[in-house]
Amino acid sequence: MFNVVGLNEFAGVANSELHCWLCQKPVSTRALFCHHCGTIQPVRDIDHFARLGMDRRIDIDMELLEHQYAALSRTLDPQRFLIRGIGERGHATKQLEALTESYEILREPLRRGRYWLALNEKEFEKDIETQPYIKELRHDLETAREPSHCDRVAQKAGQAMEQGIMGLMQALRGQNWQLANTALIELDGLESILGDVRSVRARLTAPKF
Amino acid sequence: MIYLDYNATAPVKPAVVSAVVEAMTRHGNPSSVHRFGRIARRYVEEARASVAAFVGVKPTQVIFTGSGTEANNTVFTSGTLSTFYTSAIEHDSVLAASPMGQRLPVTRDGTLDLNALECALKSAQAQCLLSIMMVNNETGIIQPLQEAVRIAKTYGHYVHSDAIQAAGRLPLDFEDLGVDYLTLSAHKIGGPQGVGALIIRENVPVSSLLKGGGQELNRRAGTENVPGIIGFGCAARLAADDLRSVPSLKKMRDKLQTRLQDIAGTDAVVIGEHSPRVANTLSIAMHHVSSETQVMALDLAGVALSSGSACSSGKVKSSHVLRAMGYTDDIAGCALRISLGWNTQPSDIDFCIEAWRSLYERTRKNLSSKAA
Repeated sequence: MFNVVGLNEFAGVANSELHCWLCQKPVSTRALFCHHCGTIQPVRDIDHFARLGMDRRIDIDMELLEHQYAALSRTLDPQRFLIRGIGERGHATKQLEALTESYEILREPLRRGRYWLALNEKEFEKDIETQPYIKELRHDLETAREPSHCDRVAQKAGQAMEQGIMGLMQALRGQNWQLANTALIELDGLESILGDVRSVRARLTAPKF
Repeated sequence: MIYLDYNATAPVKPAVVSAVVEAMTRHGNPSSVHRFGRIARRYVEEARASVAAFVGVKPTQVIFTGSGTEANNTVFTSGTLSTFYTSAIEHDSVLAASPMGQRLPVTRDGTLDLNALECALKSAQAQCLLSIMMVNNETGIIQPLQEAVRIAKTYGHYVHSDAIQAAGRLPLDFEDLGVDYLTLSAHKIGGPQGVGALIIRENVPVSSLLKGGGQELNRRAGTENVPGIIGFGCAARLAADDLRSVPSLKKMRDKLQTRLQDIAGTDAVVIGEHSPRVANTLSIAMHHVSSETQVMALDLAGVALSSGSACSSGKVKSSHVLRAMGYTDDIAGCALRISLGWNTQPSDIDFCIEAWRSLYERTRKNLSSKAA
């Protein structure tokens, strides 16, 4: 005889404290559906990697991530739960929202890096002195008098972002948490500059009356 | 008894059992116009939508069949094409359905030889059909399907893929794969046996294998297996959980592989160890012990697994897949297929390791005493 359904850690019943909201039989924390009655389950507190069925590692296979997200989101499309009543439709909507949030965090290297630090319980220290080159870029932006000055700042910041993300990933792979933390703060600074470039440029190109 | 033969068939998920049982308590032919028929039709169409979502197509692109074998045979008898190319490691249902087909070699790592494919298709005289499985049922090795499709499409050929062993183990997207035909089977994803599906691109030639009524939009004659189809639809929905389980399965499979290699050293040969493989399958040969002996001994020890494809009427024979990969009978005849799935527990893996260890030590002792 087969074992009682899904006593494994993944799809079936791992956590005897959790029960299907409909049939009240045990379900796994990770299960999208109750394996006893087939009903969609509420969103549970699992990590973003588990939600998308990805290996828990900083270097994720981006193509696989895209495919997993596409396949899972098709299953969770609330339109497919129209005839199943408000309860199931609501859970499907929430599950899809949670899946999308997890996907967006894992897809973007910066957000994934921040999440990876949190997952490894590393404190995100903010009180680190701003790097001179970031101060310089900020100064260049503040003193910009022409749109082309803004473009130059944006180009430099963009290049620094690319390098910074590579540095961040390298630091996370090597579990150099301090370096990763510093890289993240620098990337935050660059992101903020890139955001401000747009508003400064808009101000400089606005018609003057 | 530990069940580690999911590539042969997966245990039916309880929710599927409930759905099938409930369907069997109702009656109604989906082709009937009265209320009973209309209700049956509604359930069939709901299941069709679930299978369609599973592979990312419109419901009208899903044709329910009586098995994966029937779906494969339908492809080869559709249209007017008479030139077929398949890999040498396809399932018997593809090889037997294309007896005159040209078999394309695989490399030592178990993947389709793309150079050979390009040469063959370049010199093809007429439009032909290429059939490449997505994942091999014996080794779990993932085939370079998208590259094969790209080559085939360069020369204007049709492409079919038997994706039965990929379902629930890899995310499937019909459009992304670029194939024209795709085969699925319910019982490999925790659905009932006796129901499969052929997924088709719109406007490709397809004709019913059986002669009869106009079911499935004239593409598959015969009254639909309503309970089976409802079970398939349910299993297709639940397969989302299988996709989320892949990392856990991989951990268990890798532990099993490492421990068996630790036990037997060079006497254990892992097939496709360095090839891309699905997470649930381990193909491993134990030197000097025939597959048949291993399967029987492990069965007695309480572990159910197989020596390869389970579709050969229980026959245990040297694998055509391993021979195509270049293995001689001393390996091909000693290989086991261990396949995990939705209900595999870590304790099952521990049990299997111990049973395999015991078998290995016994056979070593016997061989040593014979040699002495």
